[in-house]
Amino acid sequence: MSEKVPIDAAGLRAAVSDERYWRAGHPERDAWRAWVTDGFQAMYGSAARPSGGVVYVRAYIRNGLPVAAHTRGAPSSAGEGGINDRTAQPARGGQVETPGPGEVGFPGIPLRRRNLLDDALVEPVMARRPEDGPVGGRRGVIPEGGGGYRPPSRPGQTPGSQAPAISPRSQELVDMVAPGGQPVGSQQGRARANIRTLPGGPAGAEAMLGRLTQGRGAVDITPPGHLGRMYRLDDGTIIGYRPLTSSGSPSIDINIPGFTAVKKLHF
Amino acid sequence: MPTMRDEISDFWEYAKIDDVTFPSVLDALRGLTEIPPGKDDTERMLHFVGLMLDQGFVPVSSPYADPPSAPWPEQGNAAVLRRLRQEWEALDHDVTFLDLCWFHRP
Repeated sequence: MSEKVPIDAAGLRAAVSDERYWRAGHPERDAWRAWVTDGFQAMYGSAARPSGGVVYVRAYIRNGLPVAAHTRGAPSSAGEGGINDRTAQPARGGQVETPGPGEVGFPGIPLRRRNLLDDALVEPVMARRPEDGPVGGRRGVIPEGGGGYRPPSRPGQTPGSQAPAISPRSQELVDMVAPGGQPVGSQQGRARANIRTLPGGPAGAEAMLGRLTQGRGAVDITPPGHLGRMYRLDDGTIIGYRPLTSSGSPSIDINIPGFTAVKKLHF
Repeated sequence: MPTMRDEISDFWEYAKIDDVTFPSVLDALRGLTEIPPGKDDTERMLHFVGLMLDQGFVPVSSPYADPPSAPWPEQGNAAVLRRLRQEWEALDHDVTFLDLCWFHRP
């Protein structure tokens, strides 16, 4: 058996869907999640290679010495899989391409980003958010013996400590609902700023739901009897779709880990 | 920057469109110009929720629960806040729209 196990995005998404990843109390859960995290980090993290492929290397003996199992970038060569199950193109001739207008993506792998509403190319206006950077100057919900919150250090001031980091995978979703850092849609009436309203009605909601979940290892976790749908994505994001709210219009509830600037979309 | 009264008034108005999620309540708490009374964060949160209940909000289950948006059976603010405290302290993850309760305007 080969000591190298190729890993691609589809494989990692399948791993996220496995009960060893999500079922609390599963005896293999910790090890499984660590393996998946390593895989995503190798594929999408700052050390990811332009080839986009990664391999899981089983433990083996080299020159009489044991080498521990690990995940690493795959050598760049034609025909190797990996991240290119997306629309990305690998860098040509060993050169790292600089993304042009309407192109974003991983180093050397520009991806065209399109507007969610009219499918027009989006002009990037800011660099990708650093993996460990603050998010909008806000912190996430900080447990205090539970799912608590911390008040401002003084009235009127948001706590200054760092917000949880957004994973590169989650950042792709963030770019959909807040391209260039600007939340989609508008703030209506006295809704909170992270509750956005978009045009399109039910059709618009369905289109947005499709874009948010497509190619993201969506696992249908819709509760029995629920009129809408609910999905868990491969980065831990939870998306809930309700065809009816009190106002009669549809809504999408969004929980992207570490991101608070868009929590709900009305249509 | 809003006061507790401002935030609850906004929630009351917004609730004509949709129920208020618990994460929204936490967002409101973070942006207050005043610190709610209470000796710790949990008590301050419960104080704010108590004001929402006084306003007339009814705690209901998540619309994704089975059954969806069902009013909590607890009678009276004290019982509701007691249950909230228990569920809050039992949470082992950041609050999502699936946790605790939503707030419905009757």
